[in-house]
Amino acid sequence: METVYLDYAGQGVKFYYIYKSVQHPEVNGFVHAFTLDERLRHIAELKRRSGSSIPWLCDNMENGLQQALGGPPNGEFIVDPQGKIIRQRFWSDPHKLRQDLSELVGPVDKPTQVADIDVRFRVETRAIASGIVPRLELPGKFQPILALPGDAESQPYFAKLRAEISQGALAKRGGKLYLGLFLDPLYQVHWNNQAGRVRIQLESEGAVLSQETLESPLVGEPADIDPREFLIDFELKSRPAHLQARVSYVACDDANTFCIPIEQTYTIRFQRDAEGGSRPNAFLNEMFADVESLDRNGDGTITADEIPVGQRTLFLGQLDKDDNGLIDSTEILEFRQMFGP
Amino acid sequence: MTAKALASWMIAIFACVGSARAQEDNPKQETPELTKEFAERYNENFLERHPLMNTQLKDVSVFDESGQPVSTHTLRDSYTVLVFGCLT
Repeated sequence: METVYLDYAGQGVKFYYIYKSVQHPEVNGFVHAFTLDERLRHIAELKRRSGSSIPWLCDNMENGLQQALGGPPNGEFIVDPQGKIIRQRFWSDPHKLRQDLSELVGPVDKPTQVADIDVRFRVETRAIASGIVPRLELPGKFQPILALPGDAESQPYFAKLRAEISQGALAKRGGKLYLGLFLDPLYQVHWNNQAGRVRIQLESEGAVLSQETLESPLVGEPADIDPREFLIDFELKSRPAHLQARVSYVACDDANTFCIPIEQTYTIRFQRDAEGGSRPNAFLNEMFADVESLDRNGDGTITADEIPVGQRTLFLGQLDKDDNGLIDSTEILEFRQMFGP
Repeated sequence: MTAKALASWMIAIFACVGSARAQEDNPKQETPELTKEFAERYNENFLERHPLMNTQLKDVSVFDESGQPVSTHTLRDSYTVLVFGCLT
């Protein structure tokens, strides 16, 4: 996309990336923004870490523009000078976009090549411990439900709660409830384990829970940034049922300028969160097991001929960061890091 | 997980994550048949379910990078490309 932008922005074509809600929370550690300010900070972070110069528009908190354009997560549109939509794609395709602009505006003499630019998301690691608290392995498929923060404007939600229920639980009027607290990397804060456990106190209305007080396990490291996850059973007694969650923990910033006790609330509704997206963890192990098993000769690198036909472009395009036609273990590791420890 | 399910998911995540180099111009590169099939199917369904071609872009209030309100009604006077990007 960047090459198309570089070739056509100078010819009067306007380009905008549209920010909407996070589709895959946990990738690069990022989680859903609760406020417009957090969305704008996400954009700034993305530009800083990718080096992209394409301007952004930030959709409103109701994702009004995305809905007006049919809701595609990675859609692409061309609007003509009269405001009419003249191209519409569910998946952005820079190659087709270049063809479109060539027809509409004219061809470019010497198109910018990907090799001419250095735009890619740079994974940054933090000095705080991670990967030390075992992740929960969920039994089967789960879907997100609404976890609405109490007042995200007056004090930042350093840790953000995600709620999911086991598939089919609404129809069966009961099942498993997953609650995950994820530290938002925008704030560069960590759990202070010396100050105690992360705690969630639940009050239910219309539901029976197997546990109402949830406490994270004790962690030996004085500080870490791993998610705190919980899995309990629930049974719906009436509708609409909801929970009030009071989350408490002590957060310190990585620069050690503050350590403060936090207590914040959520309303959890037993209602599918259409904007909740999906966490990639469930798929990653299988996906990367496949990637590593491609190394048939066991030399530690994956060459194009080891990748199944039909997936070479995808694998090499995303993992072969130095464009040498090989995927080495460092490149796999870098890709893994985008999804956390 | 079946190969098709994996490819479907990979389209979703790769479309969001990192660079879009796999989709960039390179006439010599191999066509990812499996993913191309899924992408085209998604596109066809999208065009059927949300026929927006040759309709006016709705007026929606969004924000620029500094947080100032912007009406999509102002996106005129030139060709404008809108792409839904993903932080993730």
